[in-house]
Amino acid sequence: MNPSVLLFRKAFEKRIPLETVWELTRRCNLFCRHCYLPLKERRMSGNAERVSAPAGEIKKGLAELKKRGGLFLSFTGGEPLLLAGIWDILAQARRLAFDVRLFTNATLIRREEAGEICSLGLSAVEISLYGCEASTHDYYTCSPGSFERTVEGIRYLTGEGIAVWIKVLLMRKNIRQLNKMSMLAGELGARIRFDPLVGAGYRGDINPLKHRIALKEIGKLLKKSSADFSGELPACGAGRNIFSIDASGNGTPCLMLPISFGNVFEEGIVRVWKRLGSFSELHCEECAKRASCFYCPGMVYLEKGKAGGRYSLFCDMAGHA
Amino acid sequence: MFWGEVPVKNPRLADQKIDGEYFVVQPLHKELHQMDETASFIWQLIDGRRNWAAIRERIAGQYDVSEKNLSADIAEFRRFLIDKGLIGK
Repeated sequence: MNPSVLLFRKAFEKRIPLETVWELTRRCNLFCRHCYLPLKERRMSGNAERVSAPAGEIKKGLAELKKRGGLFLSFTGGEPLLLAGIWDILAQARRLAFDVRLFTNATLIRREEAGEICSLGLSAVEISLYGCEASTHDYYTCSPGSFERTVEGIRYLTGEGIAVWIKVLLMRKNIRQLNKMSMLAGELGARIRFDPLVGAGYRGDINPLKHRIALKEIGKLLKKSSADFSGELPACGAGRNIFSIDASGNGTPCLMLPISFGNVFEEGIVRVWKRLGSFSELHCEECAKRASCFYCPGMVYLEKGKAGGRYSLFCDMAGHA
Repeated sequence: MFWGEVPVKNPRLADQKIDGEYFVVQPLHKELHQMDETASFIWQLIDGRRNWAAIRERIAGQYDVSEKNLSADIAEFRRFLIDKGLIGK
């Protein structure tokens, strides 16, 4: 068996937090109109400490995670590079031999930052891009000039030989730019992947859904990309082998499932992870389409306000796959 | 021979021990290596201080194996680690 499949399966069965997604801050220098985080918390001014994690506590948490079986670590935001102490946190994570990925908009990455990321040995940097040209990307980020700064950041990273993944959330205005975005990624020396589904925001915010592409378009994409989607999809590992921690320290099954099982800064990782064991998300156990279903409990939770249960969007998508 | 050589783990790797076996990520090659119990024991002994002779001695104390076979196995494992970029030469 492929060691990667075996590893994730082992961790799933034994409930080991093999992979952690850690939200370091909710502050961001861009103001994306489809973001799931509340705009008030993303704004850069005021209350920084309320929406950003304390670096010292994070470093302590990393050591606990490693002891508990952690291997893969993704730091996200907001924009994680806005966090004071970010470089110390990344260095500590690498010292503990985590496989570290950074999710960023890359607008703050210049030659010096790219060099630092390279010397730390991060395994990849994942960057959101919403179009192949400034007018589309900047429309979604509500930040004029962001496309240029992001593309420049990517160039600095790939120039250092760092593995870069461009992540594209497909929306109404960029759906026709798939090929051009793939070409741009190639030109930049980056790899690219597409996500066809915009989710709702926190606290019942349905505004992001205005940007979601129509189901028939999603169906066409799934058909076109059949090679990428073939085979049985892995079961969602949220709360089983995947752990998420938000900027305030709340331990959750996934950032898309913002149900707190305790605060890791107050109680420690071990206790919160143990408590998370009571989370179970069951859906459609008997469904014949289950193997080709993209069911995301987090997306269902954000849209319906409760985790689990059948959700027609995914049933229809499974029909198209 | 290489017995006096001190193996040093590639600092760019990530690893974790699960169920007594190490899983080692080599990000440059985009590979994940699973080490069996014996390989994991050796991997743990590679600390940047011990040379291969000291590692062989520790293994000989742990496993019932002839010196000839042990030396051959270690040589093969060392070659694997070098080829996969898991240790420096």
